[in-house]
Amino acid sequence: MAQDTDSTSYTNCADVLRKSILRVMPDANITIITTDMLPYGDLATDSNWKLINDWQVYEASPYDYTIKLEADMYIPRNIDHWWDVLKDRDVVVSSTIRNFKQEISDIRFYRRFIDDNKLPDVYNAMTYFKKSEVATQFFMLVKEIFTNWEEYKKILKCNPQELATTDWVYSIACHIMGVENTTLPSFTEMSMVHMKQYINGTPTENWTDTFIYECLPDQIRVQTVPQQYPFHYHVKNFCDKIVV
Amino acid sequence: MSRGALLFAFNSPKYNYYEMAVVTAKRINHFLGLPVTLVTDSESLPVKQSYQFDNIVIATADKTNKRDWGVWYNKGRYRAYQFSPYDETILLDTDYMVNSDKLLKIFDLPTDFCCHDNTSFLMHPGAAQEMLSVYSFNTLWATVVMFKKTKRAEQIFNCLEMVQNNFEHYANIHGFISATFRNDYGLTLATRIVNGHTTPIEDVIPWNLLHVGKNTSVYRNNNDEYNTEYTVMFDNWQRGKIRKEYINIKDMDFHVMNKENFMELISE
Repeated sequence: MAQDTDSTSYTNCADVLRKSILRVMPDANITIITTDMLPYGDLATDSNWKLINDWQVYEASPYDYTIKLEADMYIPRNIDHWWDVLKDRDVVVSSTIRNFKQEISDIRFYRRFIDDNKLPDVYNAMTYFKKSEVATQFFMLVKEIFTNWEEYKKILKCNPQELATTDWVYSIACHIMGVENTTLPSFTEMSMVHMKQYINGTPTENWTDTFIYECLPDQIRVQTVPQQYPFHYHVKNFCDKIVV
Repeated sequence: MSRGALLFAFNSPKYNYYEMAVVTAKRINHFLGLPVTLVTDSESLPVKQSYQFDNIVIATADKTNKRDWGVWYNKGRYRAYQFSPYDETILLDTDYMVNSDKLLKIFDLPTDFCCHDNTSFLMHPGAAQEMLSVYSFNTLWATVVMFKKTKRAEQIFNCLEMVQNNFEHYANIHGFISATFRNDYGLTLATRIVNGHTTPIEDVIPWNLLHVGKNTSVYRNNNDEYNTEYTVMFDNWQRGKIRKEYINIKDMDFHVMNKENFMELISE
């Protein structure tokens, strides 16, 4: 999904992502869902906070089997084999992240809401779903939680001003649907490199200020380490530097 | 197919590496049954030699590397590939105490090049693994290296030369201090470069390198030339006081970081 805001061109990021996918999987089917393609329209017309539209991805997807990716990502290698593992499931939300060294991260800095409420530790940035009854229920729940966030907050341990992020909403939905139906923790291949500050130990949120990176035609290297997992670069204007 | 060990020993103003190499070579002969080639310079070679090495290669020591305690003649290790007369070589630091035949197992690994990527410290369990820097990766160790005469192994040693010659550049990339050249760092970078900036698991010796580190001393339990039993003493500092802790070890290879301690261990 790519919904442009006043400050960020997510469609630009999504186009770079599309090219990176086609480089390693030339036969892949890709759809970039922009605001005008949302089946129920933009539910946040007056806001830059567009996450409330996320649940529409289920209906908007033209495919029976879909992997939803966030726009500010880069796919460095063929991940076709994921389908072999995922195809028998209805919904799988990724639950593993890595640092730039490709190591699985156990940093909890950004996950206080999840830990405080003992919710499933999921990352919506990579979500697989199959057109199915379970997936329909899942995305209806996502819609319901986004819409009634104020009510959910009352029963959750969180800051009263806590915003409904897609990760929090998916996590609650996974909890309600059952982690056994919505996650696949042993499938650590389905993970992304998350370029957030505390996961990588950088002094600021902008990792490009600290790390030496190389954007090459066939790979991205950070501190010489080739990025082999989906690379969630987080710093949006980094997409202009990617060579695809 | 020939097999042997290779030692580098250039005497410094402070340490007699040739003497260390003789003792280590004898232990390699005894426990591993391998011939030993020594790389040294004519200044380090005594007029009267009490031990017959399989080969002696006379080379020029690079004396440009400095450490807190003085000059450190550790550069030029990349020449190991060129100097080894063997098809399969174990390259060892001279302060590595061979006490078993364990190193022979390295030849059976399915690789043409390997070294340690993990260390343990005697009496210091759980010590953190050394990294090049917080923004980099774990250090490989040049203390024990096995290589075969293959194109890839040659490339790694050629690359080690390149890294040594451009050490400051790599220090800038990886965020470590370049004042002293370390073969461990050079080897880490060289193997990664040759392997597409990764460390293949096949290139790693599947057990930990055992160090005798800070505040730790090792003593022989008897004076046999090929003694394999030692007492390890650890000065455990707690609230400004030292508590002495001891263990006995037997048949374990170890690397002595403290050169004085190594010299004591090998003295008659």
